[in-house]
Amino acid sequence: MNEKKESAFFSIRDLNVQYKSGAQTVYAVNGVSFDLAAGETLGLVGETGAGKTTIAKSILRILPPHAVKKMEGQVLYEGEDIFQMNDTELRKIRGHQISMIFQDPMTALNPVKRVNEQIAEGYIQHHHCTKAEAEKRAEEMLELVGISADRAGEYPHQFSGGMKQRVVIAMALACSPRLLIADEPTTALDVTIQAQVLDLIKRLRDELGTSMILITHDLGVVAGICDQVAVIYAGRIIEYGTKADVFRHPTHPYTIGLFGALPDLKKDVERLSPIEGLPPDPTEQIEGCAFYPRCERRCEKCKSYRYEPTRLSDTHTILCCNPAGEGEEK
Amino acid sequence: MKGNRKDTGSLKPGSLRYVWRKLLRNKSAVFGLTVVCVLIVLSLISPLICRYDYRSMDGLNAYSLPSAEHLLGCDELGRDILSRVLYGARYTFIIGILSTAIAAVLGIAMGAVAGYFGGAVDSALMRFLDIFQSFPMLILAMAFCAVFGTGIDKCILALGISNISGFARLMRANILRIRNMEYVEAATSIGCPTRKIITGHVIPNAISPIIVEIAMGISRNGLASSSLSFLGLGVQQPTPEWGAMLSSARSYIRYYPHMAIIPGIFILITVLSFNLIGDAVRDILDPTLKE
Repeated sequence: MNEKKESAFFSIRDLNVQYKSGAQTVYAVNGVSFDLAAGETLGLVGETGAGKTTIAKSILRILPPHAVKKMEGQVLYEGEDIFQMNDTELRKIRGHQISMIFQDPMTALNPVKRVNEQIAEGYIQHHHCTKAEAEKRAEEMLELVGISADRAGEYPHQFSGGMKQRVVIAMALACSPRLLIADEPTTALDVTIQAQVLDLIKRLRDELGTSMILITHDLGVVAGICDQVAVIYAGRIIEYGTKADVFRHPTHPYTIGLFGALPDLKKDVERLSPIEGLPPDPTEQIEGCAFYPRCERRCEKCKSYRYEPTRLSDTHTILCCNPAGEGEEK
Repeated sequence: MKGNRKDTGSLKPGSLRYVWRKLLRNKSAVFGLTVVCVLIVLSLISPLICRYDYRSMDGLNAYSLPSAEHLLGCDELGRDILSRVLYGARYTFIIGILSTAIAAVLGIAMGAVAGYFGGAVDSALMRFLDIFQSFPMLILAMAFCAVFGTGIDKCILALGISNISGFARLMRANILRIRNMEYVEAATSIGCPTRKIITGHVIPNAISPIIVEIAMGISRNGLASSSLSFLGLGVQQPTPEWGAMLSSARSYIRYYPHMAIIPGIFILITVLSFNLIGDAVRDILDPTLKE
């Protein structure tokens, strides 16, 4: 979306991902592009099924090959296209340069391997060191995420959910990656643990100077951590801007709807106003704007909308042909 | 909290040590293990402890009932049944274990390949194995025996081949389940090569149901070897295989039933023991059955 930054640290150009589901094609991601500067944090926000995780997994090319029908576009890491790399080059990137925190700590850890082995695994791979050195590193990582090192030899089932997520974080950070993808790192955890884990991620990001892509459906989380925000709907970034742009001046009707559905302690509202309807069926290709059936501002133009971006400012872009004008918010 | 605690709490469910400790607390499994061990030892030392050689004939004592002289009586040629039964135990065990080993090794390899790579390889392998599965196991083993001929080695081969498809199906189903687990993606995402993912993540998680299938397979194949011998395929007279002993005793069952009953009881006890062990292992490895 920001063409002027020629050689961003990390950028995605026109990413398209389609899955096959029986005879049908699932259009999961439809032309996503964004840039990320070193040290910045981007929040990807959207409903379940909007394509957030697909974007994350296609960055590391870990989508199951038998389910993917088409994966096109460019994922540029320091100017190198990850989609063009061979297996050896790819393995050097994975874990070492870019790594990922998974959504569900219950399934992201191998139940029959000790946690220190799992954390050490990537470190051995990238640093060609002995097992003992790597396990020492694993213990350091566990201490870093707040787990005592004498629990290093235990198995995942002996940890609570929050601690498992800490282990997953330790695993992702073991090789000090320069870009961290956090895929809904707090969704599977309860609220008190969520806050702890988020604080931890934030602290580690600041200490290690890592760039981050944070995937979430929780706008509160985005507000606390991110610099840039991308709102995703039906596989497209429909609003992109700095945190101030999106939170102070939400412009796409969908983003406005999201904020309207959020409880606010300061306002006395009888009822929250949810966005009516359901996200579109991803197996259908929709003519015009995908948000049309649920949109409060729909008009004739929307039916033939071709997703030409509307620039509101240098940093703020939306995909909408009939946005709310200035002064008439909501 | 480190791994030196004596109870099973600190061991991961599914590890061999965990299964072993739980097994020792299960009465029926201990019974099964004891019987199997005692039979194996007795069989190995039977030439030393038995008063009679299993081959030596004593015409005067033919058909004799159990007595102080011959503890379990004699068969139609006057051979001591106790010596024969104990010596013959080794055949049941050898056939049971080796044929299961053949089936497990080939079946696991084929199932793993089919499950992991999927697509055309999967279809080709599994359709090929479907041919085997369309026959009842014993009929298939009989067909192989008819082709290969008779003898212990052929019997092992026939039973081994007939059992491949069961192992392959089980392994394939497990691999399919694990291949899509998030921890496999997680391992990929930190840069693990495919070889390490298969050996370090996929196989260790897929193996526990296979252990149960192996325990059950040994008893099934031991029984099947007796059936084959009884039918005149498989192990032949004068080798004292239990099924072969039953087979030769059946002509005299009305007048000298002990000749058939004794090897029958041994078959029963052995199969029961293996089944008890297999049942216990399955219960231990099935987390939904935990109290």
